[in-house]
Amino acid sequence: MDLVSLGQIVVSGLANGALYAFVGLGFSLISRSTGIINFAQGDFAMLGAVLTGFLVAGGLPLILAVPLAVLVCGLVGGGLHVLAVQRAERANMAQLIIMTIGFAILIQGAVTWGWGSDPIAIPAFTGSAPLDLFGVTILPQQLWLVGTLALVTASMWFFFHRTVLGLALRAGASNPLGASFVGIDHKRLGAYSFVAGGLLGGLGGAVWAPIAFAQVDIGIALGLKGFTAAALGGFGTTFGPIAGGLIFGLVESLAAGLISSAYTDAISYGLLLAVLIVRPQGLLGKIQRGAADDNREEVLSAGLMPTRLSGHDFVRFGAAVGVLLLLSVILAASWKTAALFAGITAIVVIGMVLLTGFAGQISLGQGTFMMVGAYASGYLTLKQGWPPIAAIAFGMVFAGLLALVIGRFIFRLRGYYLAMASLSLLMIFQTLAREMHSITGGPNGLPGIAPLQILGIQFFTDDEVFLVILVATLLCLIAGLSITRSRVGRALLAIRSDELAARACGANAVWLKIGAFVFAAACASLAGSLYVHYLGIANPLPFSFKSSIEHIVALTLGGFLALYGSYFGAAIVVALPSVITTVFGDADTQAGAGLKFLLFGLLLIVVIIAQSNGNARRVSERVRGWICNGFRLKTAET
Amino acid sequence: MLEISALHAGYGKVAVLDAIDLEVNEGEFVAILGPNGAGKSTLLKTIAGVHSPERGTISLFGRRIGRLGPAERIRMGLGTIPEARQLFSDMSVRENLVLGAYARIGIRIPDALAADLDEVFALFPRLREREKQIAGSLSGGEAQMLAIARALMGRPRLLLCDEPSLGLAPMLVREMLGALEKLREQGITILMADQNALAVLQMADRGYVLDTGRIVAQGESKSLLNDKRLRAAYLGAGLSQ
Repeated sequence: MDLVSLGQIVVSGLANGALYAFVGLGFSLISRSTGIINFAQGDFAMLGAVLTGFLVAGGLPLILAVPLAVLVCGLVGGGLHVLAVQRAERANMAQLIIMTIGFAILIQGAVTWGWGSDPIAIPAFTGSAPLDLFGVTILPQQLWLVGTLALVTASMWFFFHRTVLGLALRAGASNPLGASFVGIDHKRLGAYSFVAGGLLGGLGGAVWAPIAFAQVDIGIALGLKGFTAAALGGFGTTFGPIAGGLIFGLVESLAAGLISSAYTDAISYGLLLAVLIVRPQGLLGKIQRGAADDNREEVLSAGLMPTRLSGHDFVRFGAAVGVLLLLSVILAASWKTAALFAGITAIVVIGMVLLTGFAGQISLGQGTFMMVGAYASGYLTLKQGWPPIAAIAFGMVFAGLLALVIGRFIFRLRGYYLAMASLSLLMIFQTLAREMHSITGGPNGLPGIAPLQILGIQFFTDDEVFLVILVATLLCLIAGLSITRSRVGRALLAIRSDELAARACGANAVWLKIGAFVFAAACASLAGSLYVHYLGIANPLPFSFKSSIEHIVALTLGGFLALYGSYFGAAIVVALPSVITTVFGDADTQAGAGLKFLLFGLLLIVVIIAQSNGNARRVSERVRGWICNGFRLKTAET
Repeated sequence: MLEISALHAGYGKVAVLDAIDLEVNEGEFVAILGPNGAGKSTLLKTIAGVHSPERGTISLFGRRIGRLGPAERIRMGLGTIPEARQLFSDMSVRENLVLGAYARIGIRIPDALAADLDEVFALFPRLREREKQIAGSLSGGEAQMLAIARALMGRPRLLLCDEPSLGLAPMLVREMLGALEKLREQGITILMADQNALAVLQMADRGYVLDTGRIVAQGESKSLLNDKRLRAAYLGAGLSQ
């Protein structure tokens, strides 16, 4: 390769890196001042780009369109804080982070619903005639992007170190209680930082948009890459995200240019995973020794969890079996398919109840483990002639080992590194599944997987498969119940409530979290296997990031600590598209897909607010009351 | 200066303060004593505005402050040294001090703070040496000095001190109490909660004894110290010598 092409690769890498740096700066700013990892940060940039395109297409000159779009992003950021984050005052950090996932899909859904997902072209600020530097082409817009970034960085450094407002924002993240003692109103400052996060993301997106196209799909990738920029450079620093973004952009561009464009994503997300494993504090960052998460009050208000299996458990379990069996008899055929998919989702969610509810860790990549199960079943039964049961078992063991290795590294540190690590793992596996044709069959997947066969009995019709999935769900439920109603469950809850105290009592926090992650991985793998045996094909699409969103929504709706709730949450998630089709008649179109995401986002936000206020508990208690009273509705008390 | 009547507070269903009446006059040093869990910290947090009461009134300088936020109370002349200090441990000593003046100066650039900083550095010279150091790297005694200095940056007329002696070696406790004595000579009124009853009552003018959220005794320090029943029940065995 000649020097000019290499120079070209470097230039485009740095330009992309500048955008990642913008998003990374927003991540770092919000996490520095509120402690929240805002998953919607990439979507602020996407919104900035799409809005600019929309306004320009509407006839507004660029000089008005860009500031207006940026301003709207700032308002959206502030609005989300005021309307959602501030309402969930007693939510713990995991809930708040999940709420920002709700923001992300809300914005994505709204944009898709409003403008569709087609790319929008935007004119460059100062012409598109490229500059020539020793044969390397540089677009004027790339200079605009880098220049704006430099300006923003300098002002941010000044802001955080030389202004009292900046110091106050840092203080709020460093010690919220201490901050209120000196009179810092962190509600208001949190809103400011979300406004700033929106402005930063919007500005980056708007200045970058003319280089490529503005499109709703870039939101997720931008969020991940911006997070990588912040994680790579160090979250609590001003210059870290800049360095991280530029390095990441460069690596990505070099990987695409020099190694293989097909594996670009795998290589760049591999880098993120490597950083999270080797140097989670980032290149410039220091290990955070900030205030520990304190969930004591929340655990208190949740009441005592039962810690051993009791007669009630058997009654409830029996009731659950009864309801599901009844459903299998009375459900119409079309709903039976939905119930079947709900069962598969519920198996994944049961694992997540242990992982998120009990161990307090967020995974955004349970799809990875579903893929492990799916391809283990597909490849081993099709190409190696294994019996399905053996393939399923192999998948579960493999997924468990994978979780063990990842967890061993990620759980050394407290915090929410698993969210990003699991998401990047998912991205890597998605790329591998698409590219490793000899094993996975590429994007087309492995068709022709035989229906499940156990002890010579084939499960083929919907009714038969439903039965299998029912049994599998119940087995996972039993496993989950016997873990949570034991010493292990108690220890997990203790860790979530006060990790230091639990460690002092002899609970091995790292291994308990790993155990929960391994269990969740094995459940997901089982679900993946069942899924492909039912559909007859294993391909990457059903296990993409969108499936992670559905899992998180199902988990949140069902309740973080509620094993029985998992089926309930899964049922809503599976049924929602059909409901949208019935009501709006277009769930399969772009607008319908947008509406689905919009509703998912809203649901996540509303449910977390309700949970943090104790309203969700009151509602579920009342529902339980109705059921226990044989549906004799009491007049509603206030 | 500070007047509290029929104050009730708690956390959710757990009642912590039960009809507290309390009064602090200008220039006084008043102690709040009592065992662990008596409600001392909750009382001070409620006065500082960090915790909301259920009912009852708090007046500062004759003005009802029940609805004011912590920042407004600080601007009226209330300063707090919170329990366990609550410093910003990953920020520098100087930044901690500047934030102590946050409520007073708002978000403006802190030009006018040089004089205030000089003043607290004169009181605690050690902090000047550590000015650029991260607060989390200070020793226990230094961190306590920083907590006092941070409260002083708000220019308080009434200083609430929550267990300032907690976790300090006896020598450092004396040093810290000496610093508070100096502040009192400068005219700052002090309301201090502490378990270290003997040392505190010897400095204080008056005291209140709190137990499970109620005031069970109050009066001049001397009479509290001489009350045999109180000494046995609340003021610790160390007093009988």
